[in-house]
Amino acid sequence: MPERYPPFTDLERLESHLGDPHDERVVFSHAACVRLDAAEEFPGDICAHLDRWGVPAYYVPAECGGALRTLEHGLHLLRAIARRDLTVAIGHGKTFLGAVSAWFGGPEIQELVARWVLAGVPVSWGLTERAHGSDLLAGEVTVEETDGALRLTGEKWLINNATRGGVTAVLARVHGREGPRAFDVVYADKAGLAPGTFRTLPKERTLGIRGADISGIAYTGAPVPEGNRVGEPGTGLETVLRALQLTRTMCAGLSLGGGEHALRLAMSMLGPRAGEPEARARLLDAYADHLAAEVVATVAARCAHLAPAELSVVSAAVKYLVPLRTDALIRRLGDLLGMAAWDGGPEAVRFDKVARDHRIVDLFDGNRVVNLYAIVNQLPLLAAACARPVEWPQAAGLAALDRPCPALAPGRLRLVAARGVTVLRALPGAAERLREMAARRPELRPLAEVAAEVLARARSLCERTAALKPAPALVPVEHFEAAESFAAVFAAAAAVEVWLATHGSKPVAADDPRWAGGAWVRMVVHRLLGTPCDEPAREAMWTALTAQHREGMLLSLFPCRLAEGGMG
Amino acid sequence: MRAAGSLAAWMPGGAGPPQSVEYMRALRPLFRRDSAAGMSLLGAVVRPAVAARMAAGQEVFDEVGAHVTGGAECAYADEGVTAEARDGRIRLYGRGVPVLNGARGSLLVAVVRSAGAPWLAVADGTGTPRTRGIGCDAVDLDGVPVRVRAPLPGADPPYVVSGALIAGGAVGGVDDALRTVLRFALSRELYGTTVARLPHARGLLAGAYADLLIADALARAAVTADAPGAGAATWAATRLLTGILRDLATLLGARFYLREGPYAGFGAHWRALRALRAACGDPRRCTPGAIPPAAELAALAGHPPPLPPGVSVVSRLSHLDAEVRTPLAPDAADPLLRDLTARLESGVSLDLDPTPVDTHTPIPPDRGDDQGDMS
Ligand SMILES: Cc1cc2nc3c(=O)[nH]c(=O)nc-3n(C[C@H](O)[C@H](O)[C@H](O)COP(=O)(O)OP(=O)(O)OC[C@H]3O[C@@H](n4cnc5c(N)ncnc54)[C@H](O)[C@@H]3O)c2cc1C
Repeated sequence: MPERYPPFTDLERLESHLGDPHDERVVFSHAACVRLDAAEEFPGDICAHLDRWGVPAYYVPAECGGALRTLEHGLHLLRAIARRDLTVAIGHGKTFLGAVSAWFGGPEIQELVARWVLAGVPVSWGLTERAHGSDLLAGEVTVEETDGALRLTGEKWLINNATRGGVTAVLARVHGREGPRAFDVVYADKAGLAPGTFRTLPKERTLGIRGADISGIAYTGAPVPEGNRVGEPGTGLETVLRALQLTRTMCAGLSLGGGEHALRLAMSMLGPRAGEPEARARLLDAYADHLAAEVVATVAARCAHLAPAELSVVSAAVKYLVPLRTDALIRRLGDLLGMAAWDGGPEAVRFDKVARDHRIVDLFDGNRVVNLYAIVNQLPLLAAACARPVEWPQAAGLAALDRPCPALAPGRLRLVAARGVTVLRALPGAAERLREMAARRPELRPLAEVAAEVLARARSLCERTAALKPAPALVPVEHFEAAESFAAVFAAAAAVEVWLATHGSKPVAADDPRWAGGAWVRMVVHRLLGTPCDEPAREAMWTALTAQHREGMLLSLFPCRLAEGGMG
Repeated sequence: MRAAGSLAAWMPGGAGPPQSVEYMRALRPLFRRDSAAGMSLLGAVVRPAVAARMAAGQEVFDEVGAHVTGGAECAYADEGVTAEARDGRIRLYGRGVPVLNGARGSLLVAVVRSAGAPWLAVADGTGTPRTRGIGCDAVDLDGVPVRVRAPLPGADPPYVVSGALIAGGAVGGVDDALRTVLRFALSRELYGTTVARLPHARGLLAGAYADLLIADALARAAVTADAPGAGAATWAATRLLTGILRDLATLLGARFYLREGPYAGFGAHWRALRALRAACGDPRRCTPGAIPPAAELAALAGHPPPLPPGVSVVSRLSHLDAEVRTPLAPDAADPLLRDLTARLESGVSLDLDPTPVDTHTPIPPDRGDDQGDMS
């Protein structure tokens, strides 16, 4: 019996609290979620059930009095909630996003926000304005300092939990100021606001997450104590841009859960047909895409702790790649199911719901284009870093998933990755190490070849990127293409390195056929970069997928028991 | 459809073949206004009528024709129905059959494949237990007597022809969606400019327009061609149409996700047309064996639209199911966008045969290709 991959210990405890989602008697059941969705009703009881277990404590770093040891733990816990229902995960998990700005402030604001979160107060995040969308610099909500208080005026829309939330973190322009240093993040607690100084906007009816509270809030001179401002005056935009690095990484947990839900459903709906060649091939593609998402999201979460200066670009790559590929995974599974996905049976209804719900993950916290844009801005730095490889063992910590991470130090997050990203800089060393290993162990040859191919792609990307002129304000499409390639190559390199640094470690099951010769890496890289994939790798993956599905285990690289597998 | 007037209008006329470009084009205004109504025609009239027309038996066609021209809807079961002779009558059986329009249709038209060559059965569709589905319904058949029946020329040809007709009709829905998003892009201000001036957005909009023209060419070819070419063309058309909607949804941002407000119409098309992939794009039915390579699909398009240098039908058909579709570069995007904007302004459809369409929303002026600073 392998030792648990550390974040899965919490996940299994939560699963044990929540019970088998197929059992209609449990609070957080599939049936309850479908019912609430049809009624467009907020899953209040389910959220309260999560509160009872202590999920809110995982939205607060341990250093601030919470239970969140690392972002990696938070990512996988959110995934466990999302694999049951995305409306709940988004409705409850929003508090992580709302609270996160405070961790960049001083001890007082950290303490204040931690107190709210630990008491179960939903915290929302008010960035977006109706007229300005992604263009945060154009924001018109203002904050004005008068009589020792900060006064908020203006409207934030579309805001998750704006109505039911108790507190909103508001990005606001300091009255009369212009430019990037003209903004503050201010926590507005409804309980402390004078009557008539704010109103919430009506719930918007949405394509998916129909029960969620998607609304808005309008302030008219709402007084907020000065201590509710995060950091120094004028640093709000910088706070948000750093906070987004953490939230974009966490969003991948929503996709991991959504992808898992869809894939499990497809396996069940197909029944014995799952093993037919066409179905098997498509299910395997989906499984490999899901594992690719797991690996790249996990490495990004570790990056927040081990290489925080790189997270600006790594989080953008993950937020671009993971929701996009998970939407595609779900769509292709729908194609495979054909009319069965539409027949109105209980599983078809859930499949339709997860497909609709998951579409939102790509939209918030910067959509795919906005995240590519964040990478585009850093292409010159990434190109320059190609010439500065780092030695393999030195870089292995990011990819050694059995090893603990140091505490989160939000102050070490940077707006640009001045020295490039470790995962790519370590790739030459990792590929070389694999080559040496394969010389001694022939079963590793296919894996070493894959690593060499990833390296070749990375080098060609470096050349292409170096040849690009710096992007003008109206970014040309070829820069976006380079950013897309960066994200795919980054994910492939992360897969190679995770194998190298983690195989043979305690959380890996000794008899897992995917790890022995790196079968999962071969298939994941095939899906990311279109490299060939051999049949033995597919066979090993199929064995794992069918076993995990049958035995009620999480669809993951590591063993993790779900409630439907019996918690023992 | 129900709002659009008489069902009878959608019954392919007299003895003429159902494979008609006119019929397909007639569906477009309906889809343009309401894709859900267009899609619901598939089970209520198009699929049963096409199958009845292609079946070797006038009685079947007359029965379906009388029902539809009398103003009632059909339900259509394409798979899973079996038949047995019992008590001196042929009766239909099958549980949990996905039935198009099963919850509403009062005449059941079903392909029976239980033994030998497939045949078409017509039966009373009322009184059977039904479960309402998302795009189709489950109906329990437990010995419903067959009223009339006739052999089919194989089960796939009617499936492919009716699928092609609906895909061709859906060009109208995607036309309206593109129109909506173009208006949004022209008026939405970001970073001191409009979305329509951001090269990435321009590349997506222009690509969507090129793809809509290609989808039209494929659908036209599909309604008249013989299988399997028709099936492959339909399959490719549905992939193009749903791919366009994905790109347009990205462009519309949050507003794509809202079911109310000025852009709610886009979401309504998006929701309704998701079913296109299942309703007329099943590769097992349309393209026996492997999906043809892009060059072969392009050849199927028959009369493809003229496209500017830098974009070709083959290139647009090369990555039909990719996660992302690459935006067109300016040399290809700009001429397409000029044409697209001109069509929007003059109120004509965005397909191969520009015809006037209803436009009620004022169109903001195109600020064109002049690239200003984005500060
Ligand atoms: C259900 C839901 C919940 C939400 N919850 C919250 C919340 O809790 N808090 C919050 O603050 N916001 C929230 N949002 C808003 C969300 O974050 C916005 O969708 C986002 O800010 C983008 O704005 P927009 O959708 O208006 O698109 P716009 O920013 O107007 O973008 C329009 C188009 O421009 C393109 N574009 C944008 N920037 C670039 C660029 N640099 N280069 C090229 N193209 C570009 C986009 O791709 C898109 O095609 C929510 C939205 C939804 C739908």
